[in-house]
Amino acid sequence: MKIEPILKQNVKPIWCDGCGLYILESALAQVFTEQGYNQKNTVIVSGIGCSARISGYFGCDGIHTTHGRAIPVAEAIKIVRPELNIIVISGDGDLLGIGLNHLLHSSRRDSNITVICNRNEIYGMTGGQTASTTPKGAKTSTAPIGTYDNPVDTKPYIVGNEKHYYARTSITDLNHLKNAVTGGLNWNGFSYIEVISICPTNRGKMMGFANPAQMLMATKNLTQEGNKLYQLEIDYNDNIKTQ
Amino acid sequence: MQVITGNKAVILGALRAGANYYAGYPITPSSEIMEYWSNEIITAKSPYKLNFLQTEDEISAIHSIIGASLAGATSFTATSGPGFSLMQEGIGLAFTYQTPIVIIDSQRVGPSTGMPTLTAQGDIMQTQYGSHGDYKSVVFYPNSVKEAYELTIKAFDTAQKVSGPVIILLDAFVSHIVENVDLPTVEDIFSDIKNEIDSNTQEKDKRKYLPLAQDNHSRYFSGLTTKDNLPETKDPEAYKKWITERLDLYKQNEKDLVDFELYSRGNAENLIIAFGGLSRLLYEIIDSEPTMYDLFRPKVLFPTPSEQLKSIANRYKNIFVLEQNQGQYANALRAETLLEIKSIPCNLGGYLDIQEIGDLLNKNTISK
Repeated sequence: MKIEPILKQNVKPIWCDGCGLYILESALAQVFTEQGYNQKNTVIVSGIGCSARISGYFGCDGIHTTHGRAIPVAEAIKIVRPELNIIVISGDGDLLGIGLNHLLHSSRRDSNITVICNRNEIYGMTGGQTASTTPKGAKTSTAPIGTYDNPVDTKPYIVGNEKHYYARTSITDLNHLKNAVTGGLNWNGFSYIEVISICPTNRGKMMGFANPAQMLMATKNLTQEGNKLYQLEIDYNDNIKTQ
Repeated sequence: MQVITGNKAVILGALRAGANYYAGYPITPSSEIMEYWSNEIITAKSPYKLNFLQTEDEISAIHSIIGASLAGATSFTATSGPGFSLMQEGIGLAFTYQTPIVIIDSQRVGPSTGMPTLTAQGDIMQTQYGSHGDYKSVVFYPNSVKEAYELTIKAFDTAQKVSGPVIILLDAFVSHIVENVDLPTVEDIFSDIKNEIDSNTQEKDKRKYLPLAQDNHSRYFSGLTTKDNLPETKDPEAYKKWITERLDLYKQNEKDLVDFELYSRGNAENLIIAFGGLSRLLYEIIDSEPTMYDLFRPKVLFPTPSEQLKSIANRYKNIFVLEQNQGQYANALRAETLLEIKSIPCNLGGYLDIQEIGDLLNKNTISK
């Protein structure tokens, strides 16, 4: 498959070797190409962090906003230019920490954008501090004996809206990932896709993995163990009762 | 003629300037601006598409108008001090993106929640140094309903010229004062704009960039320092080149922007610098004591009218800045003009009392 046109050729991502974002980026490039997305019909918006750098790597207009504020910018662009495909791609620190408020409200307003969240359970760019998604008990650079709090579960927030598109998918299952994203892009309304991902450098080292491959395998196992935060699923409803 | 408030005049001005996107969060004393836009403008039969979004907070509002502007809209928001604080990060982003936006800040007594319905002038410095890093913003400050209309039009024009955020300061007094003015109605403005569209005489967009997804190659709008559409975060030369170009654009427009009123009734020995709601009281004080005071009223606070002030300074024994804060604008003028400018802080807790202000002036001028 030819994926060059949608990815810039003169850029080397800032990501570490073995980062889950490489897999996400190439999967998204494949889906965008299949969907016919290009410079004239697509805008990618992101916040701040490793994941958020992705808006500069695709061959369409990219907007790298302030920390947590990708969704308000994206929603406004869609209002003004409804003919464009507006996609938010950012990390969990950005979308589910500092910017969670906007996810709740934009999904409630059913703004017609797609939000893709790279959930690697850590603040990677700043060196491995606890995120709102870090599992309870996990050691981080700000929780030396383990975190005290439960991680955020986004599903109830999104499916709490009667009309919704919610997908939880993983970089360890490429077909599921591509299906989840394709479904979200073609959804008429707000769609949210959470991608379980890995940060071998700042989370993997605290978990004791020797290399990214080990972490990838462990993550694959997690998605198959039945833990509700790691279950791969696509949950949607557009069967809205008319009043 | 119509009898309207300052807040309504702002909406008429914005509409006349071509605004078509408003996002905001309610806050006294600016809320009527959003209400007029959502009640009277959005619902009216307009010849072009108008948009409105009531956001979940002011952080969302500022980013919403930035996104809309990037997409090609002429966008604005209105708020008051507490919301203006929340918008500061976004204002720096708009400066960096070179995105034209207009922010209206109707000031009330602070800090914090303060006295929400009462008038004050405590946000002067926040317009300049509220965001982080090093940036510039142009600030307009009308003192009447008619002027609120005129300066709003100018503010939108300026936002395009400097490709960045422009701030209109109001205060609870100017926002809520009701005056009988000769301004076009909403219908007049719609039909004017429709004529311009039909005859193709609409003013062309002066902004630096094409709207999103209309250029021939992909672009990267980032808060990061960039070079050739790519992040360049460790190259001092790239930063210096960018910031020099950015500040030059403001420098080029500075001369045209300076705007002030000099109100004089005789050979007064004291020059009082005042603006906004408070300045309205000065006319009466000067009329009753023509040889005591002249009024110098900047309509544009930043860039400051330094040269103009310097050229008339030697006519006066004393120069004072009378403002409803602890001397914010006096500090700015003193620094830029190096003149001996004295400050008369006049925060009367939200009220404007002509007797009290007259006494305050007398006390300061007689003791000097």
